[in-house]
Amino acid sequence: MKTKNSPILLVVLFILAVLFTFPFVYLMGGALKTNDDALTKPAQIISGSLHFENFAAVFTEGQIDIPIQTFNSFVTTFAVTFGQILVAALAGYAFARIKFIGRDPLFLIFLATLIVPFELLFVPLYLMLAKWGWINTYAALIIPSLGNPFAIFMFRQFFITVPKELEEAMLIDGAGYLRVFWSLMLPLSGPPTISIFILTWLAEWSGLLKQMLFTTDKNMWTLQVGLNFLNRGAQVTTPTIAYLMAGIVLASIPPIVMFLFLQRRFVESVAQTGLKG
Amino acid sequence: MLTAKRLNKFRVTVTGYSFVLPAIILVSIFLLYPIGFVLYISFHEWGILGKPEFVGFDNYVRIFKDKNFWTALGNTAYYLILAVPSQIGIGLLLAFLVNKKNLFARGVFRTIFFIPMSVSFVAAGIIFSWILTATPMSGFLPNLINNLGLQFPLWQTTDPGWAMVMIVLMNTWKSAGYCMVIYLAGLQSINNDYYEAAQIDGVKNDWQMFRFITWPLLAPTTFLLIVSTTIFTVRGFEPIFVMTQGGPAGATTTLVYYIFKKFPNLMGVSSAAAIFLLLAIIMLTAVQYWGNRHSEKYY
Repeated sequence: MKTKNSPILLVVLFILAVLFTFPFVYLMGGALKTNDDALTKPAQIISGSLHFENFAAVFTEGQIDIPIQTFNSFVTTFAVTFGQILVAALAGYAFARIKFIGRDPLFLIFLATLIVPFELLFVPLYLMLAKWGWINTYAALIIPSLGNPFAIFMFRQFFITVPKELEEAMLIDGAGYLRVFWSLMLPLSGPPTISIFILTWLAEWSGLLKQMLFTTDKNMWTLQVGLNFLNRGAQVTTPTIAYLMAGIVLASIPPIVMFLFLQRRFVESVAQTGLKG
Repeated sequence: MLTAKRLNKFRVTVTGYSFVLPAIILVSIFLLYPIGFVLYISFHEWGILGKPEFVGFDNYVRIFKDKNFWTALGNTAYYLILAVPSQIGIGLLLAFLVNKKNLFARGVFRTIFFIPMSVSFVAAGIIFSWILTATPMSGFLPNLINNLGLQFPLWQTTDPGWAMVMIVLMNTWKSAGYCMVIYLAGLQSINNDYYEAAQIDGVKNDWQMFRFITWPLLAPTTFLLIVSTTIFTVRGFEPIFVMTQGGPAGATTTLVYYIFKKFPNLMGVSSAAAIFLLLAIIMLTAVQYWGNRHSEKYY
């Protein structure tokens, strides 16, 4: 294709870049308004005076407990992410490399469950967890999410592409499958691990439905549940839109930082593991 | 010898299952069993405080007679028709724009288009609600449009048909970058020889290159994006919950939102709708694969 940068292309790119950046700019502007201005003048991007104290006010004056919710978000997000990767790597390796009886039918069942989203299963899951007394526990937010068929599928597809020679040499030398997995396969599995890490981490950090249904105690809420409450509560009682915006800024910093660090490797791993299928 | 072989096979099978065991347990308890449980609940009348009472197909009859259910089905289709092509189309456009090797500030542009993906739907929904709010105060965009002498639709009140468009705007902003990244991977896997051969064969401009080389070669990528974004869009709960709560006047109540609203008082009805939606998703995916059956993998 053509190699020079045509002016039209650059103009189109620039306009799109402005459009895509605008919500972030508006968010920052909103976080620095007074609560009154944020509510009554939503057309303004930024108001005359900047109120950086909003960020502190989120911690002290909000009706919600940001430090606890941040802690809950971190605990559940990291636990689900690492748990999913471990479970999926083990299963993916066996599905790719160990010829055990009944492997292929079992894999097909796993594949079929890929099509069933959580949004269709929350009623039975809620009833199960309520019966076990798991509502308002970390277990409810973590354990049901650990078995992810998509992650298993990704790891399997990756392990299939690893050359067999090294593994066979190790097996002939008397190493067990667990040793092969631990010292050969796991160190190689960077690409699927990065992909699953980013996708699961973001999904768990950003999730609302599960976190909202499985917790009723404010001390068990995650950041998204708290923000949603501030959004709803703010509209009917005392409007604190600027605080809400400041809270969104704070809650968005961890995923954005994580994303900036890993996006390059994510793009590479998409190309390598064929996330596209 | 034969017994040794059989013993080995046995040992391999035990090893295999021990690797898969955690996954089997988790998927069985938290995915397979709940699927059966939804089916069970769908045949019962069950409020959160009461006991389940078997009612046969009553819940199904009930949703099929419910006008709101059919509206929700229509809204889901409307949401799909708006959201899937817009994120894939804009994703493709973005991929094209940032694919050129010597592009000025290429990495910065990529990051700008990709990074909205890291913002949660709660955050994105709230930001867009305030940018787009038309009543009682005008937000940034309505203000701009109204100043141009046009009338921005009152999507929260009297123009319910526009509410879905606003949700789709937010969704596209958040999701187009993902489609861009997938398309970039697809573009990079296209062998340059095709373009050179096409040039020799007399393909002149960029549009023809796109029409006759790039687009057909990207077909597998496009297909997989259609399948995956369809499922992702159908299951969308947060965008609607945060921006409109299914309103105004039920105009953005999709099937997933309908299922959510029937919980916890009418769990049987909710579950019947969930089973219906599950079958619909399976059929939709099957139709998509069927429609794609003749296409070939080129690379």
